[in-house]
Amino acid sequence: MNADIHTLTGAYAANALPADERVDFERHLRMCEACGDEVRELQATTALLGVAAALPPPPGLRERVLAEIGRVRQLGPELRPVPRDQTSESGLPSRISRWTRRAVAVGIAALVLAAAGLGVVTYQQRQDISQLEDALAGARDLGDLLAAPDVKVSSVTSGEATGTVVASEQRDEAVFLSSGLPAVPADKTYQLWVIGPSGPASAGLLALGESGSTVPALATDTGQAQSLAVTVEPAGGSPQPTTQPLLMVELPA
Amino acid sequence: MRVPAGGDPARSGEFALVAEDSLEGLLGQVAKGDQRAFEQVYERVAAPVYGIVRRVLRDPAQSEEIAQEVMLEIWRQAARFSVERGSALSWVMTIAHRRAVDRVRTEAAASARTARALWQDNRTEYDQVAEQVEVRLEQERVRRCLESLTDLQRESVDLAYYGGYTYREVGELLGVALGTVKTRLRDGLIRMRDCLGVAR
Repeated sequence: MNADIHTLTGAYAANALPADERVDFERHLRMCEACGDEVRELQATTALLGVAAALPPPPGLRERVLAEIGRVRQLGPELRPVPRDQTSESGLPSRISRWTRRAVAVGIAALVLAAAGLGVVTYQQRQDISQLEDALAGARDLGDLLAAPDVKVSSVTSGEATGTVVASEQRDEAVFLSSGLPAVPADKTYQLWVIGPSGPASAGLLALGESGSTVPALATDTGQAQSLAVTVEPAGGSPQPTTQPLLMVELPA
Repeated sequence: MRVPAGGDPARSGEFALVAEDSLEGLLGQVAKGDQRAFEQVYERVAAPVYGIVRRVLRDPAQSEEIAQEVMLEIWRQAARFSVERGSALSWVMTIAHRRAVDRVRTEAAASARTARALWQDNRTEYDQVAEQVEVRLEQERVRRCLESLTDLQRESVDLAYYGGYTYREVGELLGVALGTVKTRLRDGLIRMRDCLGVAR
């Protein structure tokens, strides 16, 4: 890594980096603990510069904001199956609830696909999914993603493998399904990426189910993203992709 | 408005408990959907948020729009705030400043900014807020610390942070090498950090 990049903490804290350099620097930040500390301090400093510019907000803003929050769904806490900065085992409980959400969301995703007659979902998958649905019928988040009025589907086939994305722009989330990906050796794993304006961000590891399809995965913050991609990574996952994608599915427009 | 919630959380150190009425504590409640807690957050941060957005964008109509987006973003993302990554005020102001800067860097907004508002004098409004003692003290502290910087440090910080320019644009405006701008921004902010007593 360019030694010079450490001096970018100031420009970063002042939001003075052009978009591409911001991405590079954020990648560097995940590996550079000292930079992270300095960035935090300098952001606390720029925050005070900002406070010094305080102005009375326009009349009416408060009412509009308070009225609007009733219509804006809040994001859940960040549950990262693979923490973007490190790989640890401590995320296990949250991982489980995340998987539950994913499985549930996907049950409905599959129904939509089937109903849409896209022919993407195989009989076997539907069997798996109805089992999941039965098992998870009581889960609270059922229908959350797929109940969104703007849910859309896109799909790509590459060789034997098919990847499908069911996305809601409003909810800023998408479910990724695949079938036909080959098994990977024990020291490797599939990893899902959200490719957004600032480059790829991990959306977690993909487990390969018995039927040859990956366990459905929920990706968040997909609103600005162009596509979802799957790569093979060393077991435990990588902070950034290290291989070319096997599948790359554009988010439905 | 209680602005200086700003320095405090940072100063209290990372092992401090999060007090319920601190901005951090309020965000925790907002994350669970507590609208009344959000009202309190609004009271504390709306003026700094609107102020910094307005400082960068200049145009009042655009600033109001962005300030509203920022407040909604705080509501939406409250659960994503983590004390490990800095104080709540830092988090809020980073969102606000970044939104304003992102808007500036879209071409349409850039032209509106130059055409309409570059020459507007905000002095009356500054004075209104400055009526409040805490804000005036904070402004005074920041002003004094800015004065302790070298000219090049101060101009770099001013153009980058308050002007919303990229360091490349700052280099162009000041006629200095990019490497110089990067280091002046960094050592200028480090000096500000020490002068303002931001916790290490």
